[in-house]
Amino acid sequence: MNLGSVGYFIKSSFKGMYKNALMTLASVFVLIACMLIIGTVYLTSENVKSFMGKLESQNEIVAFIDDKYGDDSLSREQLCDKVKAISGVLSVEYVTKEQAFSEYRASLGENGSYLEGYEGEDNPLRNELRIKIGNIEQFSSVSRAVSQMEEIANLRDSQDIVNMLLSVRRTMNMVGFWVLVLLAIVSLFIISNTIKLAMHSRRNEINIMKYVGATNGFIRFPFVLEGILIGILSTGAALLFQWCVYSYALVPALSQLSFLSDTIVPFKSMLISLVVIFGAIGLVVGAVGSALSIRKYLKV
Amino acid sequence: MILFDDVYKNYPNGTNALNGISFKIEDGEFVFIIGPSGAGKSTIIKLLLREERHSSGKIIVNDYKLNKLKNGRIPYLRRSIGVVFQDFRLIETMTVEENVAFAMRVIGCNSKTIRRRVPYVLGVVGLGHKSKNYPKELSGGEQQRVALARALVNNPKTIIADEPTGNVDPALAREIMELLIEINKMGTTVMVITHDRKLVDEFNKRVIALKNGQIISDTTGGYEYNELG
Ligand SMILES: Nc1ncnc2c1ncn2[C@@H]1O[C@H](COP(=O)(O)OP(=O)(O)OP(=O)(O)O)[C@@H](O)[C@H]1O
Ligand SMILES: [Mg+2]
Repeated sequence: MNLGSVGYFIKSSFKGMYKNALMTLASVFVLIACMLIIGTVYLTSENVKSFMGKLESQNEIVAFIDDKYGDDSLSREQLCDKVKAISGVLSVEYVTKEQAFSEYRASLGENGSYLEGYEGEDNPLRNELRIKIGNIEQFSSVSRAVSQMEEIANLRDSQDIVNMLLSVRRTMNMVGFWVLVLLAIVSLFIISNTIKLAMHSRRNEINIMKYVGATNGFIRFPFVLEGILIGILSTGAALLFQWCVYSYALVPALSQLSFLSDTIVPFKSMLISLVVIFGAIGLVVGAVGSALSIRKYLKV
Repeated sequence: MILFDDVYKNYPNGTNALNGISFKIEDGEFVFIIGPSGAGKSTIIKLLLREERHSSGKIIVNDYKLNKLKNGRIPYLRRSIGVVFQDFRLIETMTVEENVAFAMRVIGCNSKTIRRRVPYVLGVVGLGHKSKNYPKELSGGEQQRVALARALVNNPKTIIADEPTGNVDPALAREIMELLIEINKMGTTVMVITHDRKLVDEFNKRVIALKNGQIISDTTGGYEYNELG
């Protein structure tokens, strides 16, 4: 193949798309639809993730320190370092019982007066460690490790909530994955049919190409290119539509849910991932779909 | 050089199309292959082009040993053979010159070479003035010459014409034969497949006669058609 053939390939592919305009258009639309569904699932899941990220960051383990242990700054520091060394721990905060007490009173507001008489020496609270976890998958292992430390009397964690969050996240990943697989197969089928049609309408040309000694690669190329062009066209259009769907449908819908409204992810920050997802679908489906349909016509 | 050595061809449905065929055609020869319908003439072309595989025996075509030929080499084998099919097989949506240029383009020739070569070949077959016409606008004889130009354009070592005089009147048949003889004089090996006994008689060339998949005579000049029965 030489440079002179490039013009032939491109012309040939566009001619093929034009001749089969209806089918080409149909496959572009189907591909756009598939991309939009995948894209919408992705954008929704990013928003749920961003909301869950907030929830996750609020999840902490509160470990109460046995009163036997010293309260001087050196032992505080040593204790914090010891906890930090546990894998999965993001940050540790040492909270004295006095701080905890005043926080508690503040949280009671007007009813804070009930706590009168428990201040100072009579403070029933204990010094505590507030431990934040980087990834909630590691929540239970950190929780176990901390509870086994001799300095720790007991602890309070929100394992139930964490488990719920974990299962939501896993379900979402799985649903996303299967939607992707399913729609990729649908798109593959559609593209390969379009190319099959294109090849069928040009089977005489292909036959002549074979007889005058064109290599299979040469014959295949314009059709693969056609598939890729359909993929690229669909990717561009799908991105535009996706932006409309997100701004005018998804965001207003998500904002209705009050708990989600302050964690909405801006479209721009997901644009690159979307381009990558759509582009990969478009290119792979376009190339593989057409390559699949060609084999039959290359015999003889 | 084309060599068939004890070649058999059995089609999967049980038809024995060729039963031990042997012949050798040197570079630059002009050969007629004749025989009644079903004798196996087209089968020989299919084997030459590797459209079909022979069942046994040995075939060599322009230095390609077909017994050992890998699939990836088939296009190159075919580039060494120009075929004029009985039904021409032109592309209706392309003009005469596009049809001829197409054969060059799809084997990767560059545009400059194509622009120079196509008018020359159309001149050789006497169709320079029809280069912008579509096949539908041409007579049968003219279409055949387009097919011949396309077969010639990549400068193959061998030209094969399947029934080149089948669809045209005697005057045109003569013309096309004379063209093939001219091409042969320029050094190309020519094989003509035909039923037309008169045509064969008119030219004093080598004739290989087939019947029931066997060669019943291989003579140069003074050939007796009656042998075919
Ligand atoms: N693809 C095939 N499958 C099975 N049998 C075939 C096939 N092609 C040809 N034949 C058989 O092989 C024999 C030789 O056929 P071939 O086409 O070579 O004859 P031919 O000499 O070219 O005849 P014609 O002059 O009619 O074109 C015939 O009996 C034919 O029916
Ligand atoms: Mg035949």
